[in-house]
Amino acid sequence: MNKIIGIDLGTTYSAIAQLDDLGNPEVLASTDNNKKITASAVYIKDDNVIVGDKALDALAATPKNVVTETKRQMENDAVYSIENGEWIDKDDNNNKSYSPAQISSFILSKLKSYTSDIKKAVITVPALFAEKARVATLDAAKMAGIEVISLINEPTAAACYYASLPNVKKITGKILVFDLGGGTFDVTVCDVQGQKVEVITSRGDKWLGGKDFDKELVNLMNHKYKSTTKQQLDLENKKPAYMEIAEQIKRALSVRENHAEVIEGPAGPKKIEISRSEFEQSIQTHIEKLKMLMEEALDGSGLKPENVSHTLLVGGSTRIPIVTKTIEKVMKKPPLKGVNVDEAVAAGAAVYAGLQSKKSLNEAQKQAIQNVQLQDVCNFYLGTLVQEDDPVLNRKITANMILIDRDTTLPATRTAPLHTIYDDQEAISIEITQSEGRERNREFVNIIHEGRLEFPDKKPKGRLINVTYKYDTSGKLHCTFEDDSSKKKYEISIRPESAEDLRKNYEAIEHIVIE
Amino acid sequence: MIIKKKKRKDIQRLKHKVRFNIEFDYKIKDSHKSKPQIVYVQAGSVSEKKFFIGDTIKSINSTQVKTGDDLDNEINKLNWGDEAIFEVERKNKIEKVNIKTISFDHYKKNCVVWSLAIEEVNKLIKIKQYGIEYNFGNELAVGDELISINSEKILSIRDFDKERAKYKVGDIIEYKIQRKNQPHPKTIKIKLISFKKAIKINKKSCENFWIKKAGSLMFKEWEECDYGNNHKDWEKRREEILKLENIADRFAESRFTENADEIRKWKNKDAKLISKLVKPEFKNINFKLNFFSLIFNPKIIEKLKSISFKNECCYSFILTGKTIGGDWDKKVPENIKNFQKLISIKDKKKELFIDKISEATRNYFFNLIVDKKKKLNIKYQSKKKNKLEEKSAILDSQFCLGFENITDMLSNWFEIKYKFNKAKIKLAINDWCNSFFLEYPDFTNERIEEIKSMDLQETPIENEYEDEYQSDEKIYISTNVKKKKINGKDSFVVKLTNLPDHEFLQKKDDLGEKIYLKIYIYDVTDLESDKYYEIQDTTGEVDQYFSNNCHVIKTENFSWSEGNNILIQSKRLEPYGEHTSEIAFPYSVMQLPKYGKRKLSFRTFICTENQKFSENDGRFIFYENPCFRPEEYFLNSYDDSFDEYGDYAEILSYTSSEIEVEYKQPGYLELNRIKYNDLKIALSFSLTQNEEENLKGNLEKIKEDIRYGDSSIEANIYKILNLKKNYEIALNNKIKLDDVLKDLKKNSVIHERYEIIDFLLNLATKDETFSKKENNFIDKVSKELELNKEKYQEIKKQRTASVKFVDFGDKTGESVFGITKEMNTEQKLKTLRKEYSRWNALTNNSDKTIRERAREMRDLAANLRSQYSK
Repeated sequence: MNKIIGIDLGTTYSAIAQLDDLGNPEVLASTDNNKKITASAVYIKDDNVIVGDKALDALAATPKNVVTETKRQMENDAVYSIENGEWIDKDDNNNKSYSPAQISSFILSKLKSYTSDIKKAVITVPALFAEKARVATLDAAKMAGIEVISLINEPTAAACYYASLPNVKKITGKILVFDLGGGTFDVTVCDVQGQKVEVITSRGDKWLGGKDFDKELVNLMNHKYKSTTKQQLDLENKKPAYMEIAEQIKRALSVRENHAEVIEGPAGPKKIEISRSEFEQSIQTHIEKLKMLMEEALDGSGLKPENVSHTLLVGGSTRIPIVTKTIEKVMKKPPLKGVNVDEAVAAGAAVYAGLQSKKSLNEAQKQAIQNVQLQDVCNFYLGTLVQEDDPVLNRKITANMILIDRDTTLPATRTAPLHTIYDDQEAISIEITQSEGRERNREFVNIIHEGRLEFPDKKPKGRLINVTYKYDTSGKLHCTFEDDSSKKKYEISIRPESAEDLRKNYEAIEHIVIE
Repeated sequence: MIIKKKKRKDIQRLKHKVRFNIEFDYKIKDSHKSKPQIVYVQAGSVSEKKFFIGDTIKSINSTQVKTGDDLDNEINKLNWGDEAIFEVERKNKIEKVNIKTISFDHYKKNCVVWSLAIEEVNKLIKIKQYGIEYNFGNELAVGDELISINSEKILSIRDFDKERAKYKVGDIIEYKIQRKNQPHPKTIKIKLISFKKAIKINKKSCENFWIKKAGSLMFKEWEECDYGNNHKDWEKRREEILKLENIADRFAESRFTENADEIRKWKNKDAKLISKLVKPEFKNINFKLNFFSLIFNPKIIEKLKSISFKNECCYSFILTGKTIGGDWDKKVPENIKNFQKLISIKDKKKELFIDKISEATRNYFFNLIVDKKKKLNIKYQSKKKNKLEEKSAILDSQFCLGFENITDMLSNWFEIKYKFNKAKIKLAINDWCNSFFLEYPDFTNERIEEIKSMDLQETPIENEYEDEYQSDEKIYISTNVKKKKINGKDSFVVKLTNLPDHEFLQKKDDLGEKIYLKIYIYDVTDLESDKYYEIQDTTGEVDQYFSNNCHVIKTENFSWSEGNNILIQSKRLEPYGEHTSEIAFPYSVMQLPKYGKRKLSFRTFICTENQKFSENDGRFIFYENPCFRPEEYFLNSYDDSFDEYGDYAEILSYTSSEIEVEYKQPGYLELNRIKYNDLKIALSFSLTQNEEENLKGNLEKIKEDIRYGDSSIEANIYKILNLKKNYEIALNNKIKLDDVLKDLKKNSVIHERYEIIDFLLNLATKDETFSKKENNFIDKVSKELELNKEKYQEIKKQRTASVKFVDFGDKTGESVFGITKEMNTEQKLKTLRKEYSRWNALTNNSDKTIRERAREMRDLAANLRSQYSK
């Protein structure tokens, strides 16, 4: 029987969960070390690939062969070059290079190996993952032989998990989900009534997580090493190793006030002591970002801190004391503790997978999650480029016209009339846009699809084109541009599988052995 | 259970009731049952420190009060200057409070007008309504959330009242407002005004209201009801008055025309509105009744009486369609004249005596007669040689419908009796109908004489019997123009009536003629009749006069222009196509020739495609020259028609409508283009003043961008010399930026100022970098040219998103994000959060350069903010 699976594909760690026979989400342990989280690190040498903590172990010795933080590259046209040991711009001549989707597929394949009979899964992504990154995630799943039922936003998955807990009735009202992982930060406000979860808004930063704190710690270590020895650490060649030490220091400082480590550097080993307050000082900028995004989420949901009943913590970086202190300061009450912050997302994804494939559930599983309901929102502004008069500049400009607003409840359908601007216009060009902010400038939006609608006949300017956008609950966008007079349409469903790229990628990795 | 409302005893009220600057915890409609508990006491008023929020008034001058109405009744007994003794319940104790009222004038000066109503929606405080007093414009909208007043959070209506109670007239307050779907709240700063000032603002607003009559009526009634204080539902009444012109227009349209607006078919609510807006004497007339009920109404008889001469009677004409001495039909009364008393009415079966039946019975009887199209037999009193006689007459009900019969027959009366042409008839009927309404003058014989002496153009009203077009195939369009918001843009809207019909257009089409509607706009402010006649009598060079004093409105918007940037709306009128009856011109596209208050004339032509218009000034071409007939026609009120002699064969119809406007930037005639370009060159060079290499680098770009009108050799030589001169001055660091900016402000229109900013940013970033010096320079230019801060930041963000920032040093953030010393910490934090948010949103941009810049800027904003929030 195919299992109901949820996967949290994280920047630093990933996890896989399934619904047990009683319908409870259960995070599966690694077959390598019995840990429930697996490092999202991939070691590649020739046709051998090692995923997880073992790959991390190779970081010090062969840093160029170990790929980390792949998730941060999912929306970029970048590839990992083993030769260079870094992410570089995609180029047809890149030899021995791997796309972010390929690397992610190795991680997914590894997670898949923790259990048998997996075919379908729900995979989590950051709430503000752009369309391109979502498509890359789907590609990765396909390469790993996993059929994706749906992608779900990480904080939404976490809220779903909280809602499925047996004592959930205690957590009700407006909830703020604070998800600070290794690489990304999401803050989501939802309305939880019983086991019904309605997302109100999400804000986030795709470049804010534990790894950024580690980088600041490395800078601090370097500073201290230099002030003692007058020499700098070799950050160019040994950064991954220092990053690993930084992570250990960070973990230690989460439970004690000071921590000392012996650092190997050009002037020999030196014992460096770092205090918690020094660490907190070094990450002030990032803490400020957390504050701003929480404030943004509150403003976006029209709530004040006192209207929010609980803050739920998700992600390993929420263990850092300054993070919880900041939350307490902004939300005017301490966050709720008690759930494993590393596992909530994967577990929530498994619950959501169950909701999406109820037919495959047994009676006990059905019973367990029958009351869980989820209502998500659109996390982006979706629009189209139009020509319009700018009364200030006194000329026509190409502007982004928004059809579906951010935070619109899904499914959503919006229609807008557009008109041609020239007599006898033969066609219109179609540019479907996505943006995180309410942008009108064409430079600041991402064009996620381009097309053209040609008219069968000529008409004076002012010809009516009805534009309809439908955004479904699975995050697929269906767009229709219809010429009102001839009824000729241009239709597109966005979330295409990048077929050609996928085939090439797949061919490139099919002979690889994943360990 | 039915609760009987206690009837309020009517009390003789003062013109201006005594006020104490306090508010209570109930709505007016609940005042009969709610206790008077105070929720607001205005700071600085007579009640300050005497009354407190939460007090409940128990008695006034020893009279116990239990409800708001009780209190109101007692306060009504007070005069300004009286001292009142109140008993209030405060924290479970009864306390005595003595308050001496001063004067209404004192109250007016000291009472704060907030002009803002809020409501609680889903635990949020939202704007329910706001008035004109603070000119909020687009800053505020109904439904916006009120977050705080002067940083004090408003979480309930009580919080709002409490906060309001702190301020006096003249205090400055800041509202923090969050609009739905806007990422950030905004701040609106206002200076609190007094009730006295609010009255002035309202008066001015009423005076400037586009329906002058409604405006004046509104203010008059507002004043009369003690500024809404002595009115049971002033808001409703306000709405009613706003509909005045509309209702009066429709009322005047009620006659037998093709699209007759018959009052008897009006919706009841509209008909009821008539009774509220007509003069008091007509209040009780139900205008939806049939013709007989109306024509025998004493008030209408009275009204008709006022416009009939002694021996001739429009009343009898309306009843019978016959004039004295005319072609009499034996079946109708020979001499119903003057206004003789109606004795009885009867059909074949029964006779009803008017004095003995109620009005309702009479109306019911009339309905029966009209419905069954029976004849109506009447008996009336006739006075002959001072002797009263009873006479009979039979009236036909065949074509009797409603009020429109009266206006229709009155039209005929004007035609037969006064020989009015159709234009005069239309005016007379409109005036007569309007005279039923408040604020419209009475219709008198003097007015008839006035109309008689007018030279009005013969514009026929639709005639259902006139099947054929007139031989010259002229059509008679008419227009009026109003200010209106279209798609959120302030616009002038030209309303078109009597457009050629489809049959006409088809007929023309069959002959191969394409018909167009064209509207040009001219500034006619400087045209003066006296001057024109003087020139006509002396030099005769009127064309030159028109050419110098009447200029076309232009536009720089390509899609709105024709020829030499002439603003035009041109539409082909296709047979059986859809023809709009309203055409809009947004203010933003219009370029007027001169600054200040201007009078615009919207000239509408219906013409064939063969009619040519001048590319230089939009005037129509007649014998290969621009024709000034529209100017002449505008000034010469004695002309009967635009095309008296049938000269303009391709123009099928012409009309114009005028409106006044205030133009707040230099007109195109006032702008010295050469000067503008000179200044643009100087400004562009001063960006890199004293930097030889950069000056050289920019020279080519400036040269490319500057255009001195045409590309003639002379213009090019001038340009080169000017570039050289400015280059040298800049090299020696001698361009005086402040002077350049001062002059530029006088010589540029708004969009040109943005163009300059755009150009300067292009110059500054052409080397893919943007320096602190360049940033400061362009910031200064933007500030001095008074550009909209947000729009400027937007353009700057766009232009600098993909270049490297250099030389900003530690203060990069402050400079780039527009943080100034004047800002307080809260404003700085707010600005930086906004910047962080907008850059963070761009970190997934598909353009790598923008993406990387966004990450850099996002970190910069966060870093800076963390320093300020320490």
